[in-house]
Amino acid sequence: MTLLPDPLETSLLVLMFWGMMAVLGFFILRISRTFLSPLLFLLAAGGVTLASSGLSGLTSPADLHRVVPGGLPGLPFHFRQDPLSSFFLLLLGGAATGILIFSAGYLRSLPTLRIPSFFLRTALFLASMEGVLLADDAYLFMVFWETMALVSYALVVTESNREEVRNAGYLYLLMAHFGSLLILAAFFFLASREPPGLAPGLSAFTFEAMGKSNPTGGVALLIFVCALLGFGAKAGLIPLHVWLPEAHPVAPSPASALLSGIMLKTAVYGLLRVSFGLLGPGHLNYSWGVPVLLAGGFMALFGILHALLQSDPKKLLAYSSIENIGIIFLGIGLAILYIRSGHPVAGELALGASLYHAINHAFFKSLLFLGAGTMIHASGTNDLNTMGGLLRRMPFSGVLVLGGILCISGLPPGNGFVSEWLLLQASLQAGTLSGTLLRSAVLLGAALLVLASALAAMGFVKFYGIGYLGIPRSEGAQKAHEVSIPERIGMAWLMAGCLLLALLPVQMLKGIDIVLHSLTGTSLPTATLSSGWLWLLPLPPQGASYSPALLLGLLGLLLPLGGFLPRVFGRSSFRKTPVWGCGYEIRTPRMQDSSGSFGQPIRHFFANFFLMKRHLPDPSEKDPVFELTVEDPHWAFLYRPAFRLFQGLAALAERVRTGRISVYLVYSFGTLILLLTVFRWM
Amino acid sequence: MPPPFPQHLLANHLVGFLGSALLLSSFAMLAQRRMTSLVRIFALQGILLTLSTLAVAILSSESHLLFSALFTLAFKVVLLPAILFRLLDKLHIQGEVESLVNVPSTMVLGLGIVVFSFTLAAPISELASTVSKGLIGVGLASLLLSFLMMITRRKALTQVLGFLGMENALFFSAINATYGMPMVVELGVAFDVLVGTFVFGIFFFQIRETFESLDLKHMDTTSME
Repeated sequence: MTLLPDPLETSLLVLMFWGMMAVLGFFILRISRTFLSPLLFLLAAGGVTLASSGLSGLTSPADLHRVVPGGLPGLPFHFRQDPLSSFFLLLLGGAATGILIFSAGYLRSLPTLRIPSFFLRTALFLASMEGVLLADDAYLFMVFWETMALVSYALVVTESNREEVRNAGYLYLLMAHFGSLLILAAFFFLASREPPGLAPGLSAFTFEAMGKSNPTGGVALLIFVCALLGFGAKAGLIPLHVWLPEAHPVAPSPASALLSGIMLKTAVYGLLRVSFGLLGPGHLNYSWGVPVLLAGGFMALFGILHALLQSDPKKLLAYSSIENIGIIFLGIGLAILYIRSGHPVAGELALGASLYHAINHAFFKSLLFLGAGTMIHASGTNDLNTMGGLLRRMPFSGVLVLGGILCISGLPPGNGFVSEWLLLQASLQAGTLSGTLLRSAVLLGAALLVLASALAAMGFVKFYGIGYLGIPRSEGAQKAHEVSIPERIGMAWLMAGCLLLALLPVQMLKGIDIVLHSLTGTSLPTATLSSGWLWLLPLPPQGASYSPALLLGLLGLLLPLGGFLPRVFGRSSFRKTPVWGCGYEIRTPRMQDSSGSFGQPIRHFFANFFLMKRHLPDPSEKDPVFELTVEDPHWAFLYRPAFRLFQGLAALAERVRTGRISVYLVYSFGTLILLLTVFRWM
Repeated sequence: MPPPFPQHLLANHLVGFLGSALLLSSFAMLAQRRMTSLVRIFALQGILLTLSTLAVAILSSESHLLFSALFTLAFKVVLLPAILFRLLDKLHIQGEVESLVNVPSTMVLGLGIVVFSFTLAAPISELASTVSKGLIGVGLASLLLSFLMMITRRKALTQVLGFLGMENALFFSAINATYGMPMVVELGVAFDVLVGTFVFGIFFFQIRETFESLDLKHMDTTSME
């Protein structure tokens, strides 16, 4: 018996702390704004505590639960922290800490922001996300899930005086409701079978009872589809993704980081919880993995292609989130496929890679959203085409963003590389599968993954190249200045997280292995886990291996060498001269490569993925303007027709309402006759 | 439980006769073109209702039905027709009933409804254990006929009469199916109808002052446009 609280107690304390801080902070900030930084640091302290709680939950695999009075009669609140929760708590606490520290500096620089309510929303948002991860009955889960949806809506519409923000918020709310409905349906189907040995009634809605529900094949499929679409709507599963690139960018940057970096992962958590936790791997069918896998691969490609064409850096990042969630889904699909067709090692590896990518994405995407916030704030616009040359003016944050970009592009030795490489290793085990179709589906997924990560690298070269390099394209970019100290600390925190994840993959996999073991009952090969910190061997003994630390060391040696060699063999001194202007006499910032020109080849090669409207001016036009709009084809082919159909039905229904009393009476009369008929003859 | 059906052939026939007379009066209301006659038929319906309540009361020796009969007489034969006649007088309504659907078609529709009601009521009549169970179909038919009148007539006053006719039919059905509703309910309904008629009366004055007519089409503006 120790005096220290166990991980679940710690997490619950953080939950209460965040909830209380939300209200307290709101009232304190209404009196004075000067307390903003201390309050945010307190929240961040909660984040650190939560991360440590998650970490200790991962190192000592204990299954902790606690029943708290409240809730519905017969269904008190159940909380539980198992390894899966612990893993996502670590993700939440770790990423939130950096974002909160950053906010302490960033929010002060936003004069129009209503600080008290923004603080309230942020703290509540964090608390509700944590609640989702800790809930152990369907009721409590939905309470937190809906709170999270509502509060995140409030965060999205922070700048509600702009119409596009309101529209994005509305779209988001609509999708959130759609998703919640499906999640509720999944829970309903899980709870509808009375588990043996438990009292009937509301206790069927505890996750423990649901875990024993043992549904038949068809019902299990229904549950899985409901969960996939329901959580997919939150995670940006195509075609339910349209809200994501609209809603994430319009929130203030720390809020975007929370939404994209963390909230999307709660959806991943929910999907894993329902499919692997409640339904159990025994009820999954290997063939369900194929659509999930291919959907994930398509999402990755689609997301990154659209990201490449964006000129709003935050929109670019939002589309890239779709890509990353696609990679995570690809891993989940692969895991279902492998595990259920008798290849547990490859399956564990795929699922582990998914989890790894989830936490990676939380860190580097948060970092990049914060970075985009500093870019937008410094240059005063949200268009990459008016930025440029920011690195010279913001060297510290610029370097951190560069680090984030290397990670998200999946370049070694970044952390993105580790998870994508692991996923690729798992995909390359396709040869062990029986059936050509299955094998080719997996390999197609792998090809999509590789293509998407290569394109991601291109997209982020654009992000960084147009934004930070070159010469300033506008006066705003010219006057950009370095960010405040807390902002730098926050970004550095996230960068440090990325580095840890990049350099200690074996340690990380040990933690993930505990999650995998609790979910599926099998583990990663012991050789992988006991190979020491230096070398990562995902598929011992003959599989490929990777050592991030050695690679980093090698790069550390080679890079200075690259700088050194020219000095030895080339001219002895460096000189600064104007950039060669290709013989042109005039050079303006507008002559640099632009965001649009960077995306042009992609737009050309992958024309099927976009809906383009091009207006080429006629030679005779007096005021020739070249116009190009690129749209997500889902709007034109799915959403607008659906909307028109809905409107048509509504117009049809409207015709019932003639406004004539006699007609209304006829309705009553007809209904009466109909009911009597039904009563008599049915 | 009520006593078993007494083999009182004459009384039984009497109840049946009164029932058919009620149905006939409903048809008469549907066919009637003059407003004053309509109110008179309504009063006649009240008398028939009183008589049939009395008959059922005597047949089944349920004493509370005697009170029901008394109330029916007071309200539906004396009070309501008096109010309606006063309304007609004050509003200077003597003219024809204007209908949306012409009278012959309404009659044909009405016939269909009667057939429908009887088919519908057949199994219910089997279940009921009252003396006059065969008449549930009659009650249902009169109810639907009154409803039909509400639909097919144009003036607001005819709507009220249709509404009152429905109430009569309901009452009739209740008596025949279950020996009437509890006294409190019956009293309550009776007063409701009375108050309703008063309110309608006041409305009519207001409506006529606003639209200078009692035609329903002037009130057909509940839609947004």
